[in-house]
Amino acid sequence: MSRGSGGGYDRHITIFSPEGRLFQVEYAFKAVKAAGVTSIGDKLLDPTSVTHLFPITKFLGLLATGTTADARTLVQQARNEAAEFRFKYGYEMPVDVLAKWIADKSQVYTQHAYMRPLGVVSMVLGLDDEFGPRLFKCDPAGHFFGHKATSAGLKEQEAINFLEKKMKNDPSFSYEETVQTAISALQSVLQEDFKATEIEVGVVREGNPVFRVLSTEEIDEHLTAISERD
Amino acid sequence: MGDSQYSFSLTTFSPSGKLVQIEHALTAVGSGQTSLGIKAANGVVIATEKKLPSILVDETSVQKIQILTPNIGVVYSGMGPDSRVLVRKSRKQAEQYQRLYKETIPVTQLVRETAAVMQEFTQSGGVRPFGVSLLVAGFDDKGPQLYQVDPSGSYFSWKASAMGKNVSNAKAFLEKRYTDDMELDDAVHTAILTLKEGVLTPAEIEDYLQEVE
Repeated sequence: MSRGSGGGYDRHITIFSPEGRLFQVEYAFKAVKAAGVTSIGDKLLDPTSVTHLFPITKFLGLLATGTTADARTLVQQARNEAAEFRFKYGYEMPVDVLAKWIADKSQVYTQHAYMRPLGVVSMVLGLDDEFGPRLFKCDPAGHFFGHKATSAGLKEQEAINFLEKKMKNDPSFSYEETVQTAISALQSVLQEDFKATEIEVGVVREGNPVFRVLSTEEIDEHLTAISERD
Repeated sequence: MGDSQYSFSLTTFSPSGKLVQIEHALTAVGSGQTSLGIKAANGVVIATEKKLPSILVDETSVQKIQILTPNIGVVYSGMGPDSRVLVRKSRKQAEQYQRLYKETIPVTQLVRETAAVMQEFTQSGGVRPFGVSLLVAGFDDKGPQLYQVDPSGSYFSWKASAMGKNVSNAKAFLEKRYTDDMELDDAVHTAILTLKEGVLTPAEIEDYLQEVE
């Protein structure tokens, strides 16, 4: 006879529920959505300190969606890992290797009771020597996939629907088109036009593999191009 | 295992003598994507569904079937992240065997060691069982072999097996079509048909079979 909900602990630590689910991992996904969009309207808050976009190395960027504190821990460890990789093996850590490392670490938290899963979805981007530009998304369950486009956070499903429509016929976008599609996706989903100071954009591009956060001026140019196009 | 704050096992016996966490792990496996394996006279085939969550996912970045040694491969049903841990540990064990004995590891040995790892996680402190069942396919001196390893750490050799969703349909289909003297090409064909079982209606399958035969 089944013992019901495992003594109630299946909600507190990462053991299986009777349906074979890991509630702690599912709650971690909820925490990612609950973190919400940070408002930068606060006068006393230093806006440059509020960021979700982190350079891991000169060539790898990470966009963290979810609990900021968890994100900072992850970024700190990722930076350390990438630096060690470069030292040990003599070449830059590739995007998929970093993504796998983050995902494998997340998996450990889903299996060992002493650490809870992190409430962060990470999107790792970089330029691979063999495969060109690459984007990977890692979640609290330890899954990671390469993506042509993706989204995370409160309105991720709407954003993914928007992107699916745009990417349906496997178009090849230029750099400007890619950036503008990303910004339009955000605008359409959040249903507001924002100012250049209200969003962050990070890029890598062929010919310039360094991970760069765009300046407010550059974002403004793209916003203007989008509104002129529409 | 070293999770010292949790020096007690999370998988404990229920009054009826069951290890409920393992049963729950099997439920997790049963809701995973279907995978199957067939042992032919001259080889083994393993196959799995690869349904991705969105068309935006780059399918070339996903590889569910993994190589453990040049002559042993593995596929899983259940939680992908857990399977990566087992693949990594198995590869290391195969390599260590190779370094020690200067021979490639026999399939049975690798299966036994992987199963031992899975059993550890049902008894050690502060960890939960793996939410995957593995199908290990290999070819060594003893010929083609197919093993299924469960979250409990128990393993069996199979002529053909299936795991994940729709497993009873798949197994019934395999039982009907399996023959001991099957060639590898037939086995691959049967494997694909079995996976499609979950997608096509019985009438459509009959039509296809008649066309082919």
